[in-house]
Amino acid sequence: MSLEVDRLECGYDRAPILHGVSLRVGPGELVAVVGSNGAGKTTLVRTIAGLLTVRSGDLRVDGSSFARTSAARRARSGIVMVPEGRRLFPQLTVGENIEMGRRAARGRTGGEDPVAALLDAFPILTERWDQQANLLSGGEQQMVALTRAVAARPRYLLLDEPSLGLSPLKTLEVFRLIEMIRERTGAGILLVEQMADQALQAADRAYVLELGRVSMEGPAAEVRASDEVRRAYLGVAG
Amino acid sequence: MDALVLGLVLGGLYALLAQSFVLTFITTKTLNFAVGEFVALGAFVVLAVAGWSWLPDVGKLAVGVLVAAVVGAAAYRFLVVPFMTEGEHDVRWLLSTVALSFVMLNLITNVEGPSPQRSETARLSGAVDVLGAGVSKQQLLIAVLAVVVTVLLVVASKKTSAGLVMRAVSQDPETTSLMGVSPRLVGMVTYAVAMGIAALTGTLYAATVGASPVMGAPLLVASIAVAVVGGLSSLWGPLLGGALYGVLSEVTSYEFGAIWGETAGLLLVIVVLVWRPQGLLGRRTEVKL
Repeated sequence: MSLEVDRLECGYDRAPILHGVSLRVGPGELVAVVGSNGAGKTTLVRTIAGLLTVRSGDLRVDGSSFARTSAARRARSGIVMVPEGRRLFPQLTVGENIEMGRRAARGRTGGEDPVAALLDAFPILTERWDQQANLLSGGEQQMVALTRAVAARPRYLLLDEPSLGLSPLKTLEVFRLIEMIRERTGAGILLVEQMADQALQAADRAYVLELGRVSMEGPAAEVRASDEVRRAYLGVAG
Repeated sequence: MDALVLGLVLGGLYALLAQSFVLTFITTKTLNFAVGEFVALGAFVVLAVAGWSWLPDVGKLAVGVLVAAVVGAAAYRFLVVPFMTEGEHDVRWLLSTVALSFVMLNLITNVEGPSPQRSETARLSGAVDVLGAGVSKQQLLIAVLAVVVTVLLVVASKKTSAGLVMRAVSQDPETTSLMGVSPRLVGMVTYAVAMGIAALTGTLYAATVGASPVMGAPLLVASIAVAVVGGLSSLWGPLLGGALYGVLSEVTSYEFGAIWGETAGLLLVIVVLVWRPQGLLGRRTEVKL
C-alpha cells in the first residue's frame, strides 16, 4: 500500500531533467521533497500527476502501474495534484472551483464529506463562496486550491510549492491546513517545497533532490539535522 | 424600416451559425473552417431521409444534427487535436480544417452533384408582416431559433454541470484535467454540439435556397464576421454581432446598392478589430500567473 516512483526518468524535449528518481509515499504519510531551483521538483510532481510523460522507469500505486494513464484518469483514481501557483479557475467562483474538484471524486463517494470539515475550520471559505477566485488574496487562493483538492477525495496528494508567494504568517496557516488534511483524509502527501525548513519540520520522511537525482533520504528530522542540508538549504553557515 | 427588419432577420441566420464558431473557440481555442460543409452535410442528410414518411420533420432534423455531430466530434479528435500539440502558437489545425472543408465539398459534390436540390423538410411557406416588412416565415423561424439556441446555451453554461466544465476548460484545460475531466473529451462534445448547430442551420436554410454542396460558403464569411464582431469568447456575441452586421449590410445595400452591403459588413469587422480586438462582448484572454 503506497505510491511508488521507481527509477523515474523524464524531462522536456531534448533536456532530461530527472535521472532515475525513486521514492515512496505511504498512506497517511507526509513526505517532503526539498531541493534548490532547477533540481527537478516541479517536473517530478507534474510527471506523477500525468502532465508530463514518463521516459523510463515506472509509477505505481498499490503495486499497479499508472505510468501510461491520462492525467484525468489519475485524478479520478485519487492521485490529486495542487499545481504551483495554485491555478484556480480565475473566473469561476470559490464554490464552482471546489465543485470542479468534486468531479474527480465521482464514483468514490460515501462516508463524510471531506470538504465540510475544512469549511468549518476555515469560515473564510464560506464567506467567499460566491466570489470570483481571481479576486482573492494569495493566501485565500491557496486555501481554496487545497480545499478543491480535498473535494477530489485524494488517496495521494501532490503539493507543488504551496507556500510560493505567501507571507510567513500565511505560510504557517497553509501548513496548518496541510496537517489537517492529512488527519482528516488519511491521504499520503508528497510535499515539494523551497521553504525547506518548514517542510522538513512538518514531514515524516524527506528526500533531497539535486540536479535530478535523490542525493539524500531518511526521516525528516535526520535530513534536517544533516550538515549538507543545513548548509545548502537552511542557510546555516558551516 | 424594411431594411432594418430584414437585416435583423438575416443577422439571425448568421448568428445561429456563428454560435458554432463561438462554442468551439470558447472551449478549445480553435475554429472549424469546414463549418460551411457541415451546413451542407446536415442539409443533405435530412434530404436523404426526407422520404421516411413515418418520421416527423423534427425527427429528420435530429438525424441530420446527429450525423453532423458525430462527424464533428471525429473531426476534432483526428484533424484538430493532432495539430495543436505544440502549444498556443501551433495553428496547424487551421490548415487541417480548411483541408477538411475541401475534401467534404468534393465528396458531397461527387455524390449529390453541384446543382441545388429542393428541400421540403421543416419548411414553412409564406410570409408574415413584421412592422410593415414582409418576412418569409422560414427566415423568421431561423432568426427566432438563433435567439432560442443562444438562450439555451447561456442557461446551460451557467446552470448545468456540463456548463461549469465547459467554462473551466475555457479558462485552464490543464488544471481541468487535474480535476479528472479530459479536456479532449470536452472538446469532442463541444465540436459535436457546434456541428449539430451548423447542420440545423443548413437544413432550415436549404428550405429557402435548396441544398447544394456550396450552400455553406456564402454563410461562412458572414458568420465568422458576426462571431468576431460580437466576440468569439461570448455566447451572447453572435446575437449582437448578427444584429449589427445584418442591419448594417441590409441598410447599406438598400441605400447604395447590393455591392456595398457586404463591404460595409466587413468594414465593421475591421473597425471592431481595431477598436476592440476581443469583440464587443468578448473577454480579453487572461494572462496566466
